[in-house]
Amino acid sequence: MNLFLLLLLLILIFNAIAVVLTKNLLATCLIFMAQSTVMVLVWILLESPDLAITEAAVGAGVSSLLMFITLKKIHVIDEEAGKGGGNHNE
Amino acid sequence: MSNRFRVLRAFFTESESPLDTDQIRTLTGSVPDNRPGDADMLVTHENNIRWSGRNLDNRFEKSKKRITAVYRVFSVLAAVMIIAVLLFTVTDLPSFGGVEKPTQNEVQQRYLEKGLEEGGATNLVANMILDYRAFDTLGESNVLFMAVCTVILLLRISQGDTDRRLREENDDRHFEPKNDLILQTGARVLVPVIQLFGIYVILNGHLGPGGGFSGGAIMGAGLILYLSAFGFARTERFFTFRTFKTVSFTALSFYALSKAYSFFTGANHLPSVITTGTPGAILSAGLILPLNIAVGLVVCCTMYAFYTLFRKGDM
Amino acid sequence: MSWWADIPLFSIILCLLSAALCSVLKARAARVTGYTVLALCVSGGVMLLSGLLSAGGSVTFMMGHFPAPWGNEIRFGQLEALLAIVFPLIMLMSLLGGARRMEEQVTSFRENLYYTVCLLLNAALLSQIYTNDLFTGYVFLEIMTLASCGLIIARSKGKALVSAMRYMILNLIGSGLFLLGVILLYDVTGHLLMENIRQALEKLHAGGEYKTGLTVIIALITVGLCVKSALFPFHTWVPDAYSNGTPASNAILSSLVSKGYIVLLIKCYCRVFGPEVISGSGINNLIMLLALSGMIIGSLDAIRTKETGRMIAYSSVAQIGYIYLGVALGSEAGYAAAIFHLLLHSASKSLLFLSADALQTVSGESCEFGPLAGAGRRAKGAGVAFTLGAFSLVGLPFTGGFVTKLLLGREALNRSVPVAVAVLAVLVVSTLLNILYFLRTVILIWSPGETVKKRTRFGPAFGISMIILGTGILACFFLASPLLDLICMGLTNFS
Repeated sequence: MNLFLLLLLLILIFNAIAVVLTKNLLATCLIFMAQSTVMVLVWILLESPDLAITEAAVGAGVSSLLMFITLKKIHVIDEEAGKGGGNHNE
Repeated sequence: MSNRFRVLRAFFTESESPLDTDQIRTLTGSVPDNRPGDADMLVTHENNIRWSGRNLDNRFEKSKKRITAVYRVFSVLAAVMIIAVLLFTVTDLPSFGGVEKPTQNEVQQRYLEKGLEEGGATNLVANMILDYRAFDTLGESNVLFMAVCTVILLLRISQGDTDRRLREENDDRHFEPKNDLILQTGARVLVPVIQLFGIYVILNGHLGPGGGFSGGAIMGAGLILYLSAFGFARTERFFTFRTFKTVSFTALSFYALSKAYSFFTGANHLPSVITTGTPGAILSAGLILPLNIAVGLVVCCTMYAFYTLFRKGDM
Repeated sequence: MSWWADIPLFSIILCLLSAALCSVLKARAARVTGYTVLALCVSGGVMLLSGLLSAGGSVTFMMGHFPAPWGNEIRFGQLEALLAIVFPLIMLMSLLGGARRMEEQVTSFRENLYYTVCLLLNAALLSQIYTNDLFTGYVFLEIMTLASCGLIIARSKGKALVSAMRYMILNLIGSGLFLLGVILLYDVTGHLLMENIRQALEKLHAGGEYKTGLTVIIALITVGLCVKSALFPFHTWVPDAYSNGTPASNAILSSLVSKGYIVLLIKCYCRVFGPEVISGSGINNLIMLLALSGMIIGSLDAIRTKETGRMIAYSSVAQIGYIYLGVALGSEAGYAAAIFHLLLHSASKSLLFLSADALQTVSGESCEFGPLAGAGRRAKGAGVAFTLGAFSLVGLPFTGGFVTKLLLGREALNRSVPVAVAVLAVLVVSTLLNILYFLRTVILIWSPGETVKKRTRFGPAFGISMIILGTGILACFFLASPLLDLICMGLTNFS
């Protein structure tokens, strides 16, 4: 159990750094969603199911969805496959 | 591209062209704004550097590059310093999960031992957030309401501006097929299950994990899935802006009034008519069940409102 | 418990309920609701203050059936009652003074939400004043952050959106730092109620444990609140955020929102940490350094800018430096000076923003200084109000600013020689700089300029707000002694 928790925490740190350094905005939002999903597992391992349910519904669900809608509205996600995933993150 | 979102894009990406006067004027929607000086705004992401609407020449380019480099070095240094200080502090703090930690004190003991008889809910977390420390949760519900009001202030298109509304609607479904078979079949199966599960989580908030916030978010997600699959016309048959306003207002007022009663009787040491009931029954735990329902409704409407305001600017 | 002890609970609940109500009403009904509720809050505060003055001491009110440390609590003494009178009053006057601009700058289908935002901001301010629990302070701090962004966003103009975004990002950083401090404090003490934290901290401080931890916690909470209330190096969001909303928003933001955070900081210093821990950690030296720099640099920036709104916003930075100087001096007299200047600045700054907007209206709606020539002669009431506000912030005699500088100077003389010399020097220099930019504007608006063909009618609401705010500023001087006695009595019951 401890090793699993350690692995999840390392993934969290890695995700956090990756969110900042990724240049592709769509990939950034997906990593953010993955971060929330990993947090759900961490909450379960820390024995707080209320937080796990809320994080799953809000973080990995609605919050990431709103980010995708924003990306679509500012036309970062374009319809041509070549340009898919859009502008630089700087 | 919608003008309001053009400002967002310019903020987040490096933009060389200034927002010209016409673009800025049309950002005001139906209200023209005559203040001169608006055209002198070039929006970049650099901290507090305002350039005029003239074209950038070489001198500006070089100093801009230099300032960007200095800014990057300093921000990395500041972040590393903060991380180092916080890591060092954490090593100095009490260790995680020990028995003689400061947090294992009389507060926690009473919540664990007497929580069931004083609050009535088997879910001790629900007891704590909705009975012992209910004022904080009242504040948190209003934080959510405040967020939705701000988003409505920002994004809602007025009713009179019909051509802009139509344009936003068409713009929104530009790249998607109108009736996606996979999405609709999936939604037909999933949405009832999601809504049932959300209702279950809300109603059993005092008996098991979950509660108002989580259940409301699940129900909101279900509504969003229905909207994505079947479009605005069918969803607006049962959920309009009026529904949203009514439900939010009723739920928040009920929350505030019932908690006012609870605080008033508590502070003045008066007996309260609300009983805690038998633990484990569905109708127990005093006010916790109605408050969970109120919070769940507010959160569900809020999540759905965010989604539709982002997509269409209206509900 | 007497009947007036229920007033704080009912004023908070009334504001929350009427905020929800305003979201479903139409614009005109929402406006009436907003004004009524704010007036009720002010009168409730007056009744509370009179009850507390006759009873003496402070009252602790359980929010629920469980006492501290298991349940939530609010606590109020004379100082909290005084703040609970002043803050809703200034919000009401700002709304009245800016009512004229509401139709043209906030579209009518949004106006009811504007009043929702204002009422929620009022509820959050009242809770910050009354709270006895650190986490409740954080929750209502979040409401204040979102509400202030909502106030800027309500004006449908491109610049407002960009400044609101910048404001929101920096404010969220501040909230995050504050929350981190509260979490670490809970980890070290195990309590969230302020008095229980204080007892636990006294034991830890006496035993010498967690020294680094405590220093970092104090630093996190201080920096978090300083970012949100625009202390010197964290003030870069101020000029955009404070000058781009509607005039009522500008007035409310600059006079009320930052003051709510400062009240929370003073409460943390007095009630959570206590004077020994604070002086032991040396945070006062840091705040004094930042405050002194802010007083100079805010004034220098105000001199350099070319727009009226930004000049008034930069002068906020300098004046908040004064308030933080009072906090950094650390003693009871220092805190009293800080709170006195807090009250004075709230009244003066809203008066300045509202009258500057009126002067701009009669000068062709320009942001810059040039067209303002002669504006005072075109709109006499607004001109007099602007002059009064400017004089009080500069600190000329017969206005409240004079009393503040006197108090700060006198308290600085009780410190060591280098500190006293530095403080007095900076006070003198910043007063001179203030004179430079404020009196320059005052002379400009009263110089002869072009007369206007037809008079702009400003409406009775504008007149009422000017009169009441101006009276408040004058009262800060003429009633300075009783006011200071009240503040000092409140401070003894505060901690």
